[in-house]
Amino acid sequence: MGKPPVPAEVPYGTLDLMVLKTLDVMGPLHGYRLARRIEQVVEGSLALNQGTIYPALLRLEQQGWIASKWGVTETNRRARFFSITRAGRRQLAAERKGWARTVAMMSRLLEEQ
Amino acid sequence: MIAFLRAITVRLKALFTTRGSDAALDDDIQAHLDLLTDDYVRRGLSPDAARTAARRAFGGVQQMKESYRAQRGVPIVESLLRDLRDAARSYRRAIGLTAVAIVTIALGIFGPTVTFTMAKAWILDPLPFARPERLVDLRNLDKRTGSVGSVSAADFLDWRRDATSLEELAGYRQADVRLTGVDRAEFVRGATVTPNFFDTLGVTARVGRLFDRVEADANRSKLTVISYAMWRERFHADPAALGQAIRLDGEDYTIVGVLPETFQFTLVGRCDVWRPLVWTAEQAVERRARSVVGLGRLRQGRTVDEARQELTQVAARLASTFPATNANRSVRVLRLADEIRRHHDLGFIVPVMFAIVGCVLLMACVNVTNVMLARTSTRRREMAVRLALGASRGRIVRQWLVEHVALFLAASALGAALAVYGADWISQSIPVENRQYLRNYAVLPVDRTVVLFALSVGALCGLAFGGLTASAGVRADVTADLRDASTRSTVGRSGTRLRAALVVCQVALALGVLISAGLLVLTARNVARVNVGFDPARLLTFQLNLDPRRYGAPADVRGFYERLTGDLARRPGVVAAAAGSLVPFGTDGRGAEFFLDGAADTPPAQTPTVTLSEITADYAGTVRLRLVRGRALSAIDGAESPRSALINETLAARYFPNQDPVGRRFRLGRGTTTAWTVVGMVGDVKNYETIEPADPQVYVPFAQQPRRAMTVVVRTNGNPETQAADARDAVAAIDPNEPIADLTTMADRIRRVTGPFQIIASFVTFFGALTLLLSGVGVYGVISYSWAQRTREIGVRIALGARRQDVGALVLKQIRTFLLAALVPGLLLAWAIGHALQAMLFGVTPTDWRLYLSMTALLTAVALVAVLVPARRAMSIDPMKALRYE
Repeated sequence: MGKPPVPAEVPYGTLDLMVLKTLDVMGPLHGYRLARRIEQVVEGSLALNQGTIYPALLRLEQQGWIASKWGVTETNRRARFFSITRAGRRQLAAERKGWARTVAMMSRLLEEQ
Repeated sequence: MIAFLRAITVRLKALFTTRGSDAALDDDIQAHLDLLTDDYVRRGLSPDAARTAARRAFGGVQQMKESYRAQRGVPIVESLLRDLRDAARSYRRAIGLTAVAIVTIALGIFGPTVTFTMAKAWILDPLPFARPERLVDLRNLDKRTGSVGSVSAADFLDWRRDATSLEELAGYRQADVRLTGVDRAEFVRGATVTPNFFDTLGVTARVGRLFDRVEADANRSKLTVISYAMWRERFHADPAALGQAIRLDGEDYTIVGVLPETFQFTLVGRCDVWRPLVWTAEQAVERRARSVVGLGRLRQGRTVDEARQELTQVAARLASTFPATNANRSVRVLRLADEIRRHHDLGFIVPVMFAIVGCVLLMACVNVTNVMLARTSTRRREMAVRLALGASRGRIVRQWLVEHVALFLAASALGAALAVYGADWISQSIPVENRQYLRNYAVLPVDRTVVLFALSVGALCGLAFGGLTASAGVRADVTADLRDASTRSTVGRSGTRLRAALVVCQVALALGVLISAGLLVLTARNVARVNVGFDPARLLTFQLNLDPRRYGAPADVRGFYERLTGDLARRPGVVAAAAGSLVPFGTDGRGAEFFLDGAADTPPAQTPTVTLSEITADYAGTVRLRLVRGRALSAIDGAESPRSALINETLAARYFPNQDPVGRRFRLGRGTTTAWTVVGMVGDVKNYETIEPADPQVYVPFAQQPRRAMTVVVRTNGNPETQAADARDAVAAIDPNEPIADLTTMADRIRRVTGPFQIIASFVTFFGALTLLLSGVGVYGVISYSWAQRTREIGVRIALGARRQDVGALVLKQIRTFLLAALVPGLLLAWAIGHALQAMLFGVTPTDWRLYLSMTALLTAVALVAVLVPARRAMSIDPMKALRYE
């Protein structure tokens, strides 16, 4: 049938990983650039409410994985710029491994019929 | 772990900075939306459409904020706040009960808070000097008698030279001065101090300077430092006072500085005039006259023990070098703080006070806990519902504790507020004359530390009693409670047993408190009732110390006092007037060495000392000494008459045992030849303390041995205070330049001594009454509750033929069980507290069986009154109604 595929919801727990990875690659970003960047990378296959990244950013900051600093955006507005910390990089590495394991496990499970 | 702590701190911070954090989020959101809008505009949308699109892409702003806040907050604290709100709501529902509970605990916390205020002000707070822990008090110690006193100038200087453990050694002595050259001549309290005195304390001047070493030169010693109070009252706090001269004891002294407002050296009381103590060459080698007290500062790192050892060696060396003056003389070294503490009459009672008020606090807590437990019965269904809906037991216990702690904290705040009045009452009750020797002039501030103390005690009690009862309150049988439609379900056996145990504890505590309070009240009564040996009612007293420059000749001194007493006696409202060099309950007085006539001088170590008092002719009649034998001294014992003397009974019993002392002769003072003949014997008089036995005392005629320093006593018809102005006028009429000091009634003088006992007695009476009230209410609560629970059972009993008296007997049996169970622990507690305060009892032993009996009876009576209502209620139960009940 000609129905376009519905963009999936962001799987629980993956947004944190996306944020960490993006900050790791791009360096300090404010919320908007971060959201845009994630959208670009996933190319519309996810329905991301951009606002949801703020609670995620707070969560990550409470964990000490990212840090924030005040800065000025391109439109001359005050906004926080987030960057990944050393602990955040370690966490990213750990999660990446865990993620790979999960994916491998799920693939095996789903293909085994 | 670190990450966890970090998360907690960030969250806690957020809790208190919610506002700022929200603003930051708003900034972020705004920046985000702007950028999004810009993007859409670039893609060709109109600004309005771009804004809408941006909002859509961003998602629900409010929802996001909610989840952001949820993430940010601290769940524990937030749920605690919820618990608090719940607690407040449930307390509001029972507002009367809550108010009673808060007042009860507040009264309980009031006691420890007031006691702590005293302990803090008088014992715990460091002295207001630099590094006060290094300050030491040094005094002469008489090894024979163990008595301590001042040290001679030469000894002092030797101590100072040889003591390497001391960084500084200063000396001081109280020296009141006559201030003249002002409207009315006046005695001013003062002290002379070695020039390094203030340096040793680490005090600096408020204005001008204090003494420095230069003043050690005798020529420059006519300088003075005055108190802040004097500066304000006499010089209106004008800095121009510096450099002015004031006339002290007839000499001009230049004011060089003013002490800080808070400066107080309690060992000399309130002093307004400080002068440098400078010794001339011959004074500096004097070892016989002992007049200064040492104040040392330990060298950094040296201990009091080291200083004591070293100075004891120095003193031993002096004793062997100068045996005539220094034999048996040593030194007593105490930390200054300890020496000051010894002088705080009420300070020594603090631990016992804590025991008593602690018991009262426990009783208050027990009462409130019982009420809270009773309430659980009505709240059981609420709890059962919550448990059934999935609340964890831990959660409910927490709620229980929060309710308790909140209630107790509110009560602590009230208790601390009450303590302000309590502390003020104590401070105001202290006789004015005594206050100057108390830290901070006996002002007892309820400061932040005290409030914190009250709150901590409250929180602790809340946790302890909440925890104690949590098990009974929370151990709910969900199904049973839900099934039970009535609200009258019981707390269960464990709750009932706990309530009974608590009330037994309470009665035991009450017994302990009542008996120890009784001991202190009896002591105060005994102290006040002591026969002082004369009639202290309606006596006005004041002191004079005639100027030696103007009253050099004995005849002048005699003339002055004869004229004054004669003048006073003739005034209306005056019955008699006289003067004595030692009048009871003052600070004056001195001793003289006593030798029987015909016996040679004995060495000082074996020579008894007697109290000596010169009295004018009418003295014995004016104060109403009790004449036991012979005659009193009178006008016939004039300057030229044979030397005659009165002795007291103690002296007679000690030196003329089993014989008539009248006609016997004795000498006073070493190397004298004058023999005094005993013409009469009078009863003993208490001169300083009512509770100490009298010393041997001799009275000799003032006419035969005149003295410049005398205390005048005036017996009046009415209130002696109304004669005070007359007394001033009478002195001024004879010599306007003679100041009078300490114009007060004899009753006031006695109060200075008995005051502390009365304060303690009033304090414990208050808590004794509170104790009775609390135990009465406690017994009433438990008994009436437990019988209300048994309404049905009683109904059945009566229906089955039990008589109403039988029901009454049941109630009495229960109260008897309580009392019997409480008796032994209560009496033991009383015994323990009684022994702890033995040292401050007078005229009563800590195991006075009459007191034990009467207090037990009193408490039993209160308990019986308390059960009267529940017993009558139980006896009047209508079986039909009772069985229909529920």
